[in-house]
Order: sequence, then C-alpha cells, then structure tokens
Amino acid sequence: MAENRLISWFTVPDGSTQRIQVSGSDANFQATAIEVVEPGDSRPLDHDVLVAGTSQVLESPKSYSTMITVSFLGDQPTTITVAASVTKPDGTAFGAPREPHVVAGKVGDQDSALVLAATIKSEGGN
Amino acid sequence: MFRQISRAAVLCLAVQAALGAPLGAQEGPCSTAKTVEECFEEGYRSVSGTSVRVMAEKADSQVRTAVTSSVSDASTQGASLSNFLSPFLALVDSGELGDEGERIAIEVAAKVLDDLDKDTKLQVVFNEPEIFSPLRMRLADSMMTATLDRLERSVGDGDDLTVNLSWSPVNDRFGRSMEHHRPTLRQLFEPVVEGAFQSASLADKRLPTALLISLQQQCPDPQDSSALSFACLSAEQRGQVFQAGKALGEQNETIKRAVSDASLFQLGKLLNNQPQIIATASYRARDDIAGPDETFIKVTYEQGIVNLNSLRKACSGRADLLACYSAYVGNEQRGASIAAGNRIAFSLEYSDTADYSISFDPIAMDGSAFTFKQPGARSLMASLTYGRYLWVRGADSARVDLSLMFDQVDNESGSTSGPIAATMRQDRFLGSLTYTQKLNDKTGAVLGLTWANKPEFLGDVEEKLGARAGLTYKILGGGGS
Repeated sequence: MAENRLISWFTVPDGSTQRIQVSGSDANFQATAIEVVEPGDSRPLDHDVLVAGTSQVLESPKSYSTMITVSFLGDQPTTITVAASVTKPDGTAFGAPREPHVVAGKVGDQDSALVLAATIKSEGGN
Repeated sequence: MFRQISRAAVLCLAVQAALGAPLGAQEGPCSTAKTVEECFEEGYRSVSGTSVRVMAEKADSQVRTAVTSSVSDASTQGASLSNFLSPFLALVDSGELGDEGERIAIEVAAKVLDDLDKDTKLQVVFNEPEIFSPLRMRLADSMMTATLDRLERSVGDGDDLTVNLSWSPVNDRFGRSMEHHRPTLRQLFEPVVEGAFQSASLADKRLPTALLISLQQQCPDPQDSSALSFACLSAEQRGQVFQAGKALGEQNETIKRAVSDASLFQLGKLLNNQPQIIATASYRARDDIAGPDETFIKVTYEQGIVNLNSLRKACSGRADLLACYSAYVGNEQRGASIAAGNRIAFSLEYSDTADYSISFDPIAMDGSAFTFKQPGARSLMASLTYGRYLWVRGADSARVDLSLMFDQVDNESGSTSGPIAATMRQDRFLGSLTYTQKLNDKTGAVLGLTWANKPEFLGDVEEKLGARAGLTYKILGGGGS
C-alpha cells in the first residue's frame, strides 16, 4: 500500500498550478512548511496558509519541493491530511488523482511529508 | 550545540548522496518491485522514532472523530471538564449523569432552532409524552381505569417539551480551541522549526534534485512516483531514493527534538488548562396530564493553574516570546504543576419543580371530584473540586480529586389531596476523596471515600465505614463495579 508521504509529479507542463492543503480532525496541531524552488529561492509557509490551502503556478524548467512538518499537540489522536494536486493550464488535472497523505498522532508526535513537482522535461519526453 | 550537531550530520548525508557514494545502494533495501513512493517511505521509516506508531493509531482516531457529541453537551470543549468531574459525580451520586442519560433516551426528536452564535446553543427537545407517573399510580390505585384510558388517549406530541440553552465562551481567554491561540503558536514555532529546516537546507535541495534527474532522464515519460517502478533505475539510484526518504525522516526527527527541547509540546497542556465556563439552562414545559414544569440552571467553571492566560500575562511586552515561554514553563514549580495537571472546578446548580395540582370532574367512584396534588421542590447545590495527577507514565496514570458539595433542598410538605403546607428545608454537606487509577486509554479503577454530615444523605456506597462515611470502588471500562 502506498503511504503517500511523497506526493510527486514529473514533466509537469509550464504554467500548471500546484495546490497543497493541510487539514486536521481537530485544531490540536501546528503545521509548518518550506517551499524550495530550484533554481530560485525558498519561502516558509505557515499554519494558516497551509490550512487555508496554498497554490503555486509552476514555471519551466524548475522543481518545487515543499516539505511539510506537523507537530501534534493534543492528548487525543488527531488525524492530519496532506492533500495536493496539479492542474494543467487548461484547467484539467495533470496525472492520475493522488491519494492524500493521512497520519494520526498525539502530543509528542511529529510527522513530515514531501510534495514535489518538476517541470523539467526528460530528454525525448513530452 | 544541538543545531551544530544536526547540521554536521545532515551535511555529511547530503555530501554522500550528491557524490554518488555507494552507501545508499548498500543500505537501501528497496527492490525493483517497489515504486519510488514505497521506497521513499521505507527510507523515511528507517529512521528510528518516525511515525510508524502513529499510523497504527489512525483507525482509533477515525472512530473517535466519527463520534458526535450528545445533544446534552454544552460544547465539545466541555469534554475535558466532564472527564475531570465524572469520577466525583459518579461517587456522590448527584444524579446528573443519570439524568442526562435518561433525557437522551426519551428523546423522540430534537431540533436545533438556531445557533445564536458560536458560543450559544438553543435546542428544543420533544419528549415522548406520558401520563405523570404519580398521577397514573394514583388513578390505578383508585380503580379509575376508564379515566386512565381517556387520559392515555389525550396526551399527544407537544405535551412534553424541553427547551435547552447553553453558553460556553470560546475565545483567547476562555475555552480550549487552539485556533484562538494561533498567533502565539506561530511566534513560538516559527523560530524553532525554521531553524531546524535551515540546518538541513543543503540536504533539502540536493537530494530531491538528484532524485529528479535520475527519474526524468532514464524513466519513460514519468508523471508521478506512485506508479513509477524501479525497473528503469540502477541499484545506486534506488539507494538515492531511499536516502531521500531517510533524509526527510532525519529532518523530521531534528524538528521533533527541537520542538521538544523548546517545550512546545507542552502547549497542548497549557491550552487544556485554560478557564472554561459552561452555563446551561433548561425549561421543561408539560401539559397538566404529563406532569409539573421544571427549571434547571447550572454554571460550571474550571481551570488549570498554569495556562495560556498566565503565560500571556507573564510574557506581556516581551519581544522574544520563545525565550520567555521557555523560562516560564521551565520554572521548576510551574513545570511540576503542569505535570500534575493541577486544576480546580466550581459549579452551581439550581433546580425547581413546580407545585402540581390537577382536578377532574366528579367521576370518582364515590361521585366526588378527583384532585391530585404534589408539592414542588427546589434545590441549590454548590460544589468545589480540586484535582491533580499523582503520577503519569504513558497511558498509565493516577490522580486524586477532592470535592466538597453543599446541597440545600426545599421540599414543600403536604398530602397529595389537601392544601400544600409549609416548606421543609434540608441542608447537607458531602465531601469526597477520589483516587483514579488509569491503566490505559480504556480501563482503570476508581476508589472513593465519601462523607456526609447526615447519614441519610450518604448515598449508595459499597462499604459503609461509619454512619456518615462510605467506600466506593468501580472498575472503569471493565464492565461495572
């Protein structure tokens, strides 16, 4: 069974949009992320941005790595869902629908996931 | 010191991977039958302490999430208060928990009329109407079966309804919602987590890139890692994927240690110690046949000693909130109080059952008018509770709760057919000491000592230690006492 801790897309068309959202069964967690663009810069994404859902237009040729980490703070288990998708410039989904990364934890637990999107085309690829 | 060590470890790993060192190929157990995603997960889980355990709790959590709160709950935030007080209530047999259960059981339909705001709930419960039980018994005793049948047919929907109003403020000073403290959390977490991210920045950038280049240059038209098998990659490249997962796992552990070192996992306990007010009022309106009207009002206040309010007060005006927070929770006395879960609760409860009187036309056996009366009753109850953990070891814990309750009951004496006579007032004091031994999330044991100033108010106890004291014991989750 795939664990979906790594959610990735390769050979993404230029101008596509990547969306990432973190949600929890309750509010007892704190999410933080850093998005690393190569070539380019990195930017932090705070809890509110991740919970509201963040989107990024993907330029070519670049790779976008978003590392999301979640600190569990509640005495009772909280279920966290990290969902991501890529939409092509024409509005249709790129690739097959991806299952989200789902994990449960309670105070003292920490979990991370990596969302990766690359617009770099392979040699002879589409 | 911690960050220097972390940086050195991650840099070493990054350099090994970037140079194509054979370490990954040797270490990575990923077979060609696995997908990139599965190999990445394997690498992640190879780091000790990562989320293998929490994944096992997923199903349990989903069950918990699916459980909806009962209609009688003032709010979900009330759960912790209920958990705190329940052993005490069970022992002094105040009847609150039993009444709650019965009320739910007899509900036929409930309609939430309106959510006045997020803190206030208004609800109307249509109870299944029945003839007032004492009246039924009196009619049966009087052989008035025809009248009883007539009354049975006359009761209908709407003859017995309860209006519930509850209020429980949830904001940055009261209640236990993390959402209202998000700015504080952000100020505390950002420097810690971003510091940990930066200490692993080289690995973050280089490992995914190495992975990408390998995948995109050699694999036929890859779109995502969930379907991509390893057939197109060399053993060394498979090792790189494994190492990428491992790097994320190590980064996760670095962040976990940083969050733990900064005592940020204590924030949940501070939130759980926030003051909580729950006020409920209900009015049960019944047709004369169904019984007397009833009024019930209850206000409960509970808080832990060290909480987010006290933190905010201590750190007011401080630019470096994280440093202030660390010093605040690092204080020996406060740390001990947090660990002990010290908390106090106060509740005030008032109930009023109206005088009851009903008359029928001269249909009694002797031709006289039938009259049935029952005096009303009023009670006022106040309780003060202090509780703390004696020790906590994982799910195994022991706590003690000390409670004092004052109960004043006004019963109006009188016969069931004559005029209502003078009021009889009875005051009573109840004290209880409860020891709760929790063995895991579902099982435990409760041992309680109860004292009453009047023997007749001692209630149900398993062992009577004296005229005014008793011993109670129960097995929690084990099928009764």
